[in-house]
Amino acid sequence: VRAEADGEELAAYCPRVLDDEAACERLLLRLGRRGDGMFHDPDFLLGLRQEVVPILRTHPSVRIWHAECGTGEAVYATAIVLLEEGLYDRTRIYATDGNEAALALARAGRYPAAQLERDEDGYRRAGGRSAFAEYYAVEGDTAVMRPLLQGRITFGVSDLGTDASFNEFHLILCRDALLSFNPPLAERAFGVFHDSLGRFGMLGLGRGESLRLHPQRDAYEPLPRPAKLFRRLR
Amino acid sequence: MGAALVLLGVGPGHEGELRQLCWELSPEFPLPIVVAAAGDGEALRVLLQSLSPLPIKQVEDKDPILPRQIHIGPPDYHLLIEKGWLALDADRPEKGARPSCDALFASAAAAYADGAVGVLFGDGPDGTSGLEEIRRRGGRTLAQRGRPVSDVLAFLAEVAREAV
Repeated sequence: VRAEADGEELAAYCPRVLDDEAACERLLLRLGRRGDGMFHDPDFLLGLRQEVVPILRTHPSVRIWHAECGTGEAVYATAIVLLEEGLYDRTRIYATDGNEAALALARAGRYPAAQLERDEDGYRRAGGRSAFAEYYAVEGDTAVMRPLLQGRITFGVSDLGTDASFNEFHLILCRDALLSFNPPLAERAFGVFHDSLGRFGMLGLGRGESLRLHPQRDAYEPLPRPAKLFRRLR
Repeated sequence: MGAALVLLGVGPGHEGELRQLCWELSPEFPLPIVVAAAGDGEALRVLLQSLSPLPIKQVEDKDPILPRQIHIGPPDYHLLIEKGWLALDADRPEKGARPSCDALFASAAAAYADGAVGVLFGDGPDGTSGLEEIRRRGGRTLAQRGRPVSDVLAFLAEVAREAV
């Protein structure tokens, strides 16, 4: 029920951020399907903070890929975790999606204020060290993410169904997006992820997903925490 | 087509019937069983496994549908049937339910037609239109509606006899 409210709020909000009517329509189709908040899976983010950040810290600079990032909520959540752990100033996050309208919303970093206010509890359960409200400015009924967060995120169009690997990453996050891919397409996406991970690179999937269709799944081991985070061994 | 798989939709407050069914189910039951139930996924799976003679797996997206196994969906995802495999879906709740029994039944009817067998434990609005969809495609259904679980077990035993 909560996801439903989030989706509708964001949908009503769309025309005020984008003036491209066709793009809005495509986006609304998609928002009808999803629309969870920024901290809807605090267990994963807490695991990211406690188990993954210490591994990332061993690199002089960190590259992260948020694939199929949609309207970008999860990207900002990751940015906040890294910022609080003191790792953000040497991190670059690449956030991609095949849908340009969704990406425009993500890049703008503007969300309905009421939606973010409901995330305060999730933020705290994810180990948040401050107040979530400090990461956005409220303008009327709009919450605008702080430029401090946006500075290290690069948003770009990329289609997992057709595009190849474009960089090598220490961490790839693609959570619950492959659910809507058919098996051959999911297999292809896993191949692109594999080509984009160095040895000991990590891949984070959604709570309901697995490596079953990954062509090189034997090259990975799951980390004890968070759930569904896999490390490439060879 | 004979019966190919059993769909169990379990509404809120009906976990007790699911436990009893798992406890009394024949270890020889040949068909795959797919369960959509509200509640804490892994805790529920462990509890049911302690009762059931059949192996119970919490579904991950695109798992194959296997005979002599109980597949139970994780919390907060819709559980859908494709031909030969299971799909999870993070769509918005339907009739306030995620997982939605209607979505489970309707997807099974689309993929398996009269091979789908639908059983509903529940008295809410969720599940009845999905059962109707299975019946429309020629599949068999049972809405428990206060009947004893032994009726459901008898129904499943009959389905299994005809499937062999």
